[in-house]
Amino acid sequence: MDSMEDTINKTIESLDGIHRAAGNPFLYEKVMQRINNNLLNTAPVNNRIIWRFAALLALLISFNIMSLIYLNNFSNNCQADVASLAHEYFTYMESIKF
Amino acid sequence: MNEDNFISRLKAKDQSAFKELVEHFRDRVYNTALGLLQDDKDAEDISQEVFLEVYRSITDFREKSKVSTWIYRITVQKSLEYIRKQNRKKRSATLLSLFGKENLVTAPDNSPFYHPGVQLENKERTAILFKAIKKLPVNQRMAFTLNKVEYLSYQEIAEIMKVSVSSVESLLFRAKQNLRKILTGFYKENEI
Repeated sequence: MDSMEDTINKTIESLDGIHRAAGNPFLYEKVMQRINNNLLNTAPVNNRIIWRFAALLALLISFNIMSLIYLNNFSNNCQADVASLAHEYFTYMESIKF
Repeated sequence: MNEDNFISRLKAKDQSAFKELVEHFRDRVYNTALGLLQDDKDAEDISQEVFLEVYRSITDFREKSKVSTWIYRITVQKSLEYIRKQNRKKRSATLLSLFGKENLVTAPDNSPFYHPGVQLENKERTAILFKAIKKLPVNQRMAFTLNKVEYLSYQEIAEIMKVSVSSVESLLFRAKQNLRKILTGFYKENEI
C-alpha cells in the first residue's frame, strides 16, 4: 500500500502523458455564424443606443431649462424682496429724520 | 505558416486565412480553456469567444509577440473572466441562501472532471488533482495548467502571462506546494 507521500506524488504526476483534447470540428462555421449574426444585428443595436442617448440628452436639456427658469424666478423674487426692503428702510430713515 | 504574410492576410480579413488560423489553433485554445474551466461546454463557448475576439481585433495586433502567444493570452483572459463571473455568482448564491432564497439559486456543479486526454489508469487521480487545481490562486492555476495540460515551456508561459521566467518558476513551485497541502487534506479526510 502506498504511503500518503507516494499517493500525493502520483496524483500530482497523473497529468504526465496527457493528450491535448480536440476542439469542435465545426468551430470555424460556428464562429462565422456568430460574426455574420453580429453584422446583421449591428444596426438595431446601434439604433437602440442612439435612442437612449437622445432620451438622455433630452432629459438633460429639460433639466437645464427648468433650472434656468427656477433660478430666474428666484432671482426676480430676490430682487423684489431687496427692493421692498430698501424702500422700507429709506421710508423709515425718512420718518426718523423728521 | 509564414507568419508575416499570414498576419497581413488576416488583417485584410481574408476568410481562408482566418479559417486556417481557427483550424490551426482550435485544439490548443479548446484544451487550454478546458484545463482552466474543467467543463467541455464552457470550454467550447470560450473557444468561440476567443476566435471572435481574434477576428475583431486582428487589425490592432501589433506583432510584438507571436500570433500563438497572443491567442493563448486571449484564451487565458477569457477563461479567467469566466471564472471570476462564476465566483461572483457563487457569492450571490451564498447571500441569497442566507435569506432563504435557495430556490433562486442553481446548485454548483461539483461532479468530478475527467479530461478526455488522460490515460485510463490515471482518470481517477487526475479528477482529484483537477479538483485541487480549482482551489489554487488564479496565477498559480494558470501557470500550472499551461505547463501541465498544454505542455508550454516556462518561456512561453512567461510571454503569455507577461511576467519573467523566474516568476513562472516561482508560481509553479508554489502551485505544487499548495497542491500537496490540498491533497494531504483530501486524502486524510477520505482516509486513503
